[in-house]
Amino acid sequence: MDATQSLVEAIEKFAPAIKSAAALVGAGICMGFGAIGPGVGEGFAAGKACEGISRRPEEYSQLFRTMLIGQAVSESTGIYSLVIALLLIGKAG
Amino acid sequence: MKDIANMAAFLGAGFAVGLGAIGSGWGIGNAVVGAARGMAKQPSRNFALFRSMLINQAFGSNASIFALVIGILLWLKGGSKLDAPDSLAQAAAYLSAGLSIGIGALGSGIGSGLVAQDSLEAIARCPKAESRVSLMMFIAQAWCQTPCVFAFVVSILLMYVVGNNFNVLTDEQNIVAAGRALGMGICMGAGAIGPAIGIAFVGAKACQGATNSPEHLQNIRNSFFVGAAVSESTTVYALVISLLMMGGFAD
Amino acid sequence: MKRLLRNSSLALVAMLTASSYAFAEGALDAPMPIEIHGWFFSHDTIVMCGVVAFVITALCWLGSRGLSKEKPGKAQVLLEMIVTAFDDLVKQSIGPTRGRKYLPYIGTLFLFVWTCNMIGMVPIEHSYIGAEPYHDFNHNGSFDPGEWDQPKDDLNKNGMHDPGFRVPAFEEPTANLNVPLGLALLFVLFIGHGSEIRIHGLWGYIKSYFSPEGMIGICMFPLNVVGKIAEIVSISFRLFGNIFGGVVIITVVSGLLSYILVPIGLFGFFGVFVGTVQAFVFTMLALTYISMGAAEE
Repeated sequence: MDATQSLVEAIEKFAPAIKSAAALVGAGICMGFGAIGPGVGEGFAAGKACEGISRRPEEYSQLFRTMLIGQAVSESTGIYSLVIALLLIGKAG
Repeated sequence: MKDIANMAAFLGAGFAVGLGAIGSGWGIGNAVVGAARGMAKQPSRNFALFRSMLINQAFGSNASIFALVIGILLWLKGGSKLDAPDSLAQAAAYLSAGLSIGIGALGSGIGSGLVAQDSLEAIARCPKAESRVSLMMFIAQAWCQTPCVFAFVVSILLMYVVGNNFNVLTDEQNIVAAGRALGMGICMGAGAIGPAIGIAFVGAKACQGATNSPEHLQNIRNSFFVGAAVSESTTVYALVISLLMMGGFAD
Repeated sequence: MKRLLRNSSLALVAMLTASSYAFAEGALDAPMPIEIHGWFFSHDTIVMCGVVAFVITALCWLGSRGLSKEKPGKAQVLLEMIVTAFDDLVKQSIGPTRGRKYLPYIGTLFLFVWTCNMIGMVPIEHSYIGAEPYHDFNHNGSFDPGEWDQPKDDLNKNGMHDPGFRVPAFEEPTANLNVPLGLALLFVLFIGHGSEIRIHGLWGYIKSYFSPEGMIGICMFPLNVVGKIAEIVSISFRLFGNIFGGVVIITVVSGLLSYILVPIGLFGFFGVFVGTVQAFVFTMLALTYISMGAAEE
């Protein structure tokens, strides 16, 4: 009981610092884990586009444009992570 | 909390080498898988395939060598007398240096295996195209090590730039700096996984495409460069965020 | 070839636009900022943009002198190769007749960004010309050579210890976020959206935000807006992050290895390869974003 009490007191004492630290760790986790999905997804889209171009080279420009649009859409979650991470860093600073 | 920074350095060394070896093991194994399949298809090209396999394995072990370097440096730090052995911030910096390269080496190792398997099979399928495929393979392998290099640099920065001179901080500053260091390492480490696999996937498909239609190599190379550069962008965001966080240490 | 000459004057416009967005305040510090009406301008970045524009203009002017159909010189062949490559690219993605109008912009963009990425390899550090030999930077009567590179701001303002004319370091201007952001705004927002408004009309432009027609288009409106903003953010952050990351990596690893070997391989990969690929990618993406609005049916 005593240990819990002192822990709560310590947290209350350092509350603003802990809030800042949590925001910074949160920014790191947000950008770090948010980068996994878009990276794999964009790579998958581009890989399949390369495969398609090697099979049907005459459709190059159509496939290339589709690849870029698909990648732009799957990148939007990465952009969300970036924006949230920047907001969190601003909050902590 | 006595000697917490030394303990964290040992813990970080363990994370670095332990996590960093996963991806490379998978990648090196996959290179052998590709070579074995290729040799079964084209027994006459045994020597060329073996040579190419060794090059691919060298690239695959690259990520775990980075992790090993950071692990050894952290192990030396853990055994030595530190400036601020009781500082929470320094402990967080060492732990997160290990996490950064440890998690960051995962993707590059796996990606290297993807490129190795597809390029070796491509060489076996179309032995005439060996030089074209090898060039594409070199570019893809070097490129999918880039996120791992970013993670390595962030680890070095955490150990030698951030990890020093924390003995004059107040308690509040110490807590914030600890959060900053931990966030920096996790951000770059986890952010390096996905793009490395993505770049490697594009590179593997480009290696296969180089055999199929050599007259359209220019188009395939264009889409490889653009596609891989776009998939790399999220790891670049992670690098920018972690360097921004490091900039905050100056305050 | 005359097109390319006109292109290079556009590089100057690009430079001015880029530097007018130079709000290097707060987190992303610029080296040696100059303050004008509360806006911070980076001395090094602006000067380097000018140097790049001047280099491109001078090379194109020198290369395009004495053109001949019968006996093309080496420079002419090189310039024709560049122009033909971009001509094909633009025709392929926008169209044979309208594409020609965009060729100068796209060609200049690639040359400007590529030269910006390469200029960091010129081994010139920043220095001071005409400085007095003795500087009491620390106000304690001692000369500390460590302070030579970084004169304190207050010393500059009261003009006491004039460090002389600052020769800028040859750093990549693209390693400052403001230059890629300015270029992205110029090419994606002004040229891309501008030509879309000019070709399809204002109503057609607004309709493109509700892109799949029908009820589902109304639900897609916020996603389309975010997508248009994400285009600019992603294109500029990609170029900035790659070049800036390369600079940091070369600095850190050179610091580690400075007594063992000169990391030429690092310059080869992070300087030449990444710089060329990123310049190409920036150009291709700008072209694709422009062609979404401006392509011929």
